[in-house]
Amino acid sequence: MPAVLIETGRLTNAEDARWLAEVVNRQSAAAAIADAIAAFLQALTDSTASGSGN
Amino acid sequence: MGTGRSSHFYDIRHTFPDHALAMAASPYAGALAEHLLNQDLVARIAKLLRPAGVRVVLTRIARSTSNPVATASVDTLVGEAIVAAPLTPAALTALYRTGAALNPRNREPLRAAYADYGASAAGAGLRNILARAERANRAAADLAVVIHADAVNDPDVRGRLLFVYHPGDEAVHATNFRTPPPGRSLDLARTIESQLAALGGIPPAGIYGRDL
Repeated sequence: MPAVLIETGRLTNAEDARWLAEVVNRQSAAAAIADAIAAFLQALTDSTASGSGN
Repeated sequence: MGTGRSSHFYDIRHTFPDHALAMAASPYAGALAEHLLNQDLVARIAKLLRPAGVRVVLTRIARSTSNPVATASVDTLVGEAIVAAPLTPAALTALYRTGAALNPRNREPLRAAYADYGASAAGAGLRNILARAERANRAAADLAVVIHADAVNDPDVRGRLLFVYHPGDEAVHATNFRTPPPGRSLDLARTIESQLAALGGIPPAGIYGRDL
């Protein structure tokens, strides 16, 4: 299956940590990842439906 | 994130003492806790995906709370059911190591779900991941997304990293990141990275291949 590991940032870096500490940023990151997953799943479904999938 | 980490491995000077996602106890009191951060992100992702009809399965069943960065993250699997084939941990180990466990729909190795040993290939980390991998198999997801946060010894190093499965290296958490192999995992990684890059904030540090 398609599999991706995301290291969202470096907690040992002050700037990365500060960004991740903000709830508005975490919500934005979650939305970005969710949008990407939804788009990928839709493309996967379309590909399977059209017979070009695996 | 290597093995044999001491209880005070990282020099973290930036703290968030009253933050809901911060460690409570020393030596990292006030530092963001990876497991809490990951849980927070995964919960937000699931909350956004489920109303859209996406089945989300969380596989993490154990976590460390002693280190801010440890075997402590939460994995997310999403998609529709493909197969459910309960296997013993020993059978899973053998199948994953030979790459012989296949998704019956696309015939791709299920080894891609085999991510993040944690501390020890022979200890609790392996048992943990095998249990999670079995959950992943039972869920039979269409894709797997693993949410982590990283830590390095150099506090000046920053950035977001994405990894896709690159077979052939049994070393866990090896630092020899490789050019990611083409395929649907790389397509997914690029899709995610494109969305995250649009946010600004944390800079991209690349997409790599690694034996997850």
